[in-house]
Amino acid sequence: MAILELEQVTYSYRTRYQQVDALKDVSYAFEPGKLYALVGKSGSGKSTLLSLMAGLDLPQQGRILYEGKSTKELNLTHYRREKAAVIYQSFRLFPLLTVAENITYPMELRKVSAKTARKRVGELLEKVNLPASMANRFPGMLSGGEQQRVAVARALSMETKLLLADEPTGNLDSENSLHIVSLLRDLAHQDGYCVIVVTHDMEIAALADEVLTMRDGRLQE
Amino acid sequence: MNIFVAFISSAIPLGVPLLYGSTGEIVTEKSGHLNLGIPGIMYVGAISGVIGAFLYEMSCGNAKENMVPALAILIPLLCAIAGSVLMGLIYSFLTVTLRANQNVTGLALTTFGIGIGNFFGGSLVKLVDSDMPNIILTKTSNFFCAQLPFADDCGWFGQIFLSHDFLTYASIVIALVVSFVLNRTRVGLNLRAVGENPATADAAGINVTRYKYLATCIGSAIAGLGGLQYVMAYANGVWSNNAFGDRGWMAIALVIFALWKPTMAILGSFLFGALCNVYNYIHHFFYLGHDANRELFNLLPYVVTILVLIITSMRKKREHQPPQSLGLSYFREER
Repeated sequence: MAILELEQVTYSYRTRYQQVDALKDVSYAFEPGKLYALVGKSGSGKSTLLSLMAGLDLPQQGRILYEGKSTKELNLTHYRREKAAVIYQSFRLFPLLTVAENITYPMELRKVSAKTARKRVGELLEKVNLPASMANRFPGMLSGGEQQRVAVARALSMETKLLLADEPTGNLDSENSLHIVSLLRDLAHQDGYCVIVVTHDMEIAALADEVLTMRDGRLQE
Repeated sequence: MNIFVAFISSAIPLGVPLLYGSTGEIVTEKSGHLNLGIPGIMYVGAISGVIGAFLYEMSCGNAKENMVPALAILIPLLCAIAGSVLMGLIYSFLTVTLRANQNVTGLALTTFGIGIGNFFGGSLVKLVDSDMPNIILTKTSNFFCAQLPFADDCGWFGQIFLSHDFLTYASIVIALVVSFVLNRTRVGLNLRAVGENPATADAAGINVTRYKYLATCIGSAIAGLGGLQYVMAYANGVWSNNAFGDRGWMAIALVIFALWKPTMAILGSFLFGALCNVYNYIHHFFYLGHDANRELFNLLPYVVTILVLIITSMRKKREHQPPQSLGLSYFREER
């Protein structure tokens, strides 16, 4: 059964100079346990689609269904907190918080007890292949690859079934890129996550179970 | 010894408006908004309190015995908060909702606030048909300046620590509460997250707009109390247009000196209060020759402010940096 379904999703927005029809009648069903790559040129609508799937906005026409329920009927704040985790190209870690605090932040929002959250930090660092000793370091002390692993650990701490990644390897060298995508693929195959990765990199896309191509706001079969 | 005690004791009220202003600015800056409108907001806080006090004194027939102490304090206090929150709302609407440039908006708000303050101040002066260009609210001021009854019996300790108006003590309590909320509570963590990286906070389910509005309005309310304290306690209830000076700007500079920490702002404010007071006392401590030499000490707080800005800008420690998104508008739909 699909975890996330897009039904004729249409979305447009205005910039200072023009109206942009970012998505036109996009329909697709995403299943758990798979890694999806969403590819396409700049401006094809990939990131807009990802932000709608992340619950940052609602489609103007059509629906996005999470486990059968339209995001229009869901509380989007609750959806973003508990249903969809996002990983970004620029990691977006909080520089003044330690690695452990960055990871526990989504748990704080869900009012998970501090003791449970601390315990989860060790498990999550292990999951993303980082040593436990890294917990008390600050993001600025880590390499790009390590920071992205922390961002993945933070996303996992949300305990969602849906992982959305916007160009997660865009700031990494090829070796680290491969590690991150392998990690995301393992999360899909071994732990049953539905992982959707927006990428320009066709080598990365080649590792996905399904490759979806966006062109001019439409999803191409 | 007596001169030294008097110097310290009189320096404290000079630092209080700075503490209110810097604490308010810290709250706002933690949400990622640089509010250069703080001087104007403090000015509006002051004039709003003056208007409230003026109307209440008028309604009591200008007789102290007709005034209820609680109302004499509450009315100006609430007016000051309302006036400064209104300014905060204008700033928030422009910079959060309309995403106007924060620096320009802040500067415009300062000009606007001082203009509004002078307009109402001037109007009140004309209303009472006073010969002097000021409004005198000493009856209300007396309620604000009520001291602890045993302060005079405690010698130098009482003079330095116990002889101040309640807004002085409130400024320290507010700074400590703000520090606690920022560093020890979930709300504080969310606010810091919004100021550091609004996009991440947004994606994590934080209502970024609400936090920015609330932080700016609460920060403005705190800053506005600084203006009220200046008029009612430091100036003994006497409002004169433009008398507030550049305290608002010093409060903003203090935020950098305090490294965005309200507890450091307490120390910094009283230190700057002392620097402002050096001019009044220096001739007691040193022979300066011609009296005109004393004027040089009027420059002291500003010279130190510039030095502080230079030194703090050179610090590179991670925990001494401003919120990462400070001054940047958040565009969720940037894609």
